[in-house]
Amino acid sequence: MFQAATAPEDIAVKVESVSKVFTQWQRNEEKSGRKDHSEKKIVHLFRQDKKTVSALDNVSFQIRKGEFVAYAGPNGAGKSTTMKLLSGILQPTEGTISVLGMSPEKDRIALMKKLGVLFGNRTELWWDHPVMQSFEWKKVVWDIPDTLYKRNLDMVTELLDIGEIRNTFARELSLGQRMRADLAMMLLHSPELILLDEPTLGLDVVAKRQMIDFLKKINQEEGVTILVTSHDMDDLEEMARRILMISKGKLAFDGSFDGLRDITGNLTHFIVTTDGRELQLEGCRLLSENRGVFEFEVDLSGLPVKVLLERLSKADGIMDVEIRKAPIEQVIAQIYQTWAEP
Amino acid sequence: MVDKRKRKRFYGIKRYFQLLKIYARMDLASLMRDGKFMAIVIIADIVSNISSISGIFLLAWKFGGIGGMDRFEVLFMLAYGNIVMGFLNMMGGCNALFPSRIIGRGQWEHMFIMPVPYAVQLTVGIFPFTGSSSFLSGIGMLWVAVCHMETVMPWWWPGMLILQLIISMVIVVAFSYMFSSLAFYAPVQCEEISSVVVYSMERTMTFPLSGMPMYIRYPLLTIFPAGLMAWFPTMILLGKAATLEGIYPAIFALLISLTATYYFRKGFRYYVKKGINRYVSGGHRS
Repeated sequence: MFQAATAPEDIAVKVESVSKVFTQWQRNEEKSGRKDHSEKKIVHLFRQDKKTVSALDNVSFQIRKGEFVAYAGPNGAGKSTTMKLLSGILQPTEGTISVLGMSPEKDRIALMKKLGVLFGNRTELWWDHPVMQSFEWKKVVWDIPDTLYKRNLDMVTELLDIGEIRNTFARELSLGQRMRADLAMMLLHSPELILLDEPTLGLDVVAKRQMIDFLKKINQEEGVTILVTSHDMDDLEEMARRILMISKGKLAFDGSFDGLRDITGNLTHFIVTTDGRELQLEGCRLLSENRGVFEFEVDLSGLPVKVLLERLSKADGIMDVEIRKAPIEQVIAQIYQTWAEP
Repeated sequence: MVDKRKRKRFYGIKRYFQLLKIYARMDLASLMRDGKFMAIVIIADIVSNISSISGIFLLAWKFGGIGGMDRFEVLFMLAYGNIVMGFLNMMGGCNALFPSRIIGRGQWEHMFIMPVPYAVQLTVGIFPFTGSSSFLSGIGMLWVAVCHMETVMPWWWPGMLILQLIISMVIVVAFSYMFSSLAFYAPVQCEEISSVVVYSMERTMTFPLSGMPMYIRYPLLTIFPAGLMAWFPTMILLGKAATLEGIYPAIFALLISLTATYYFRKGFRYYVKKGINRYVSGGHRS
């Protein structure tokens, strides 16, 4: 799953055989097999079972400088744990992590000057102060030189359109405004690598669009390496060129979004409009039908396009045909379902 | 080499004061946000400080003193305690005095992503404007008490006062951090443990222990050292303690801070190694 050999100085993130294990206490009242036995119940109150949860299991990957990588997986797969490991918030049980050539554990202070971290469900803004005050606080804490601060402040103000909210108190911002302000603050020290955990969480379409456009721009123009997690696969596909998928703590896929589609057998959707006649196509699954508009799903690896077109041409009353790739959301859902099966 | 080290040290000190300055400026800004709010905050704090010590002082006034301490010696003790807690509250902004809250609320993670040593982050959260009323009223009360006392203070007495204040503060902070280390293991359950410990000590410190039986006095000078926050240092400063007794608070402060450092570091290592998030039943509030 590794990329082609890359010079060490070109690697932004290197994760080698990383495992992260947590221990949970569990009360198991069924264990005795005699639920009504009060004595046993009391014993289990005091002697709970220990359960080991493997959030990450021998995960290895590399991210080159300048890459825009999506990090996806079902709930509880280990995405946030990975983000916390990369930013030094947690330490791995086993394995090594190198971020921008540094150890998050040993070189925390030096690394944080080059790293930007944003958790979508948390804010780094000072709640009872204007946004600008948080920016000034960041300038002092990160010791950002005046010229760099000014340059970055002008850039984020323009690109994220935060001119009007700079003097607004953080608690008075809408979620979209807050996310933009948080993103702007994260970029003030010119991070070389940014880790985004669910940055589009709860955003409306306009705010989401602004966020995606901005991230693509700083990745392409400033060469900032970005690792982003999200449950919105369409967003991820639009932003990133590479996707790392994690399932039950293991790295399950590392490649392009098209490569991901291939796993599910090249699923394709097509919509056929008829003059009102019913339509049935062998080898295709009917997804919906509404007043002569039929939506089908077909696996083109099993039914070649040529054969499909022949069958369509033989059907009566067809007025229009539209073929499109299966939405990535559906591809992912199918993969998740496969993973969930025992 | 020496020059480089000196420059680095100077840079560190400069950065420390820069951080203090930004927090002080933010505190002033939040206070000045609106005049009415500012007045309410200051008046409420003054009333709260006076009422917290008035009961003991009125008793001392009524009976001409308590347990061998005269009225103004009692006032001195109350003022001393107010200065200790007032200074800690002023410097302990952002819950630095109550680290179990930071851990229990999941805010410890914010500290990881700042390029500043943890120790610095925990000591720069100064609130000199909104958090200074207790400290200032303590200084005022101390001045009144000293002016009314008959004891003549030697020239080194102010230095001794500052030293005792520092020792008392070290004890409070060490106790808070020692108990807070439990929050690394059970963040939600122990979120308020430091505030419970510190506030219990603060409430108990206002009682003069002179004349109390040993089984009350000794525990309050050892296992629950509220007596070292005001009463015992007052005895030392007023020359009512034996010379050897005078070094006890310093020794106690040293031992308790070493113990607190050991347990806090141990808890911290556990926190980053074993995890504190939703996988752990007592993980922090999200």
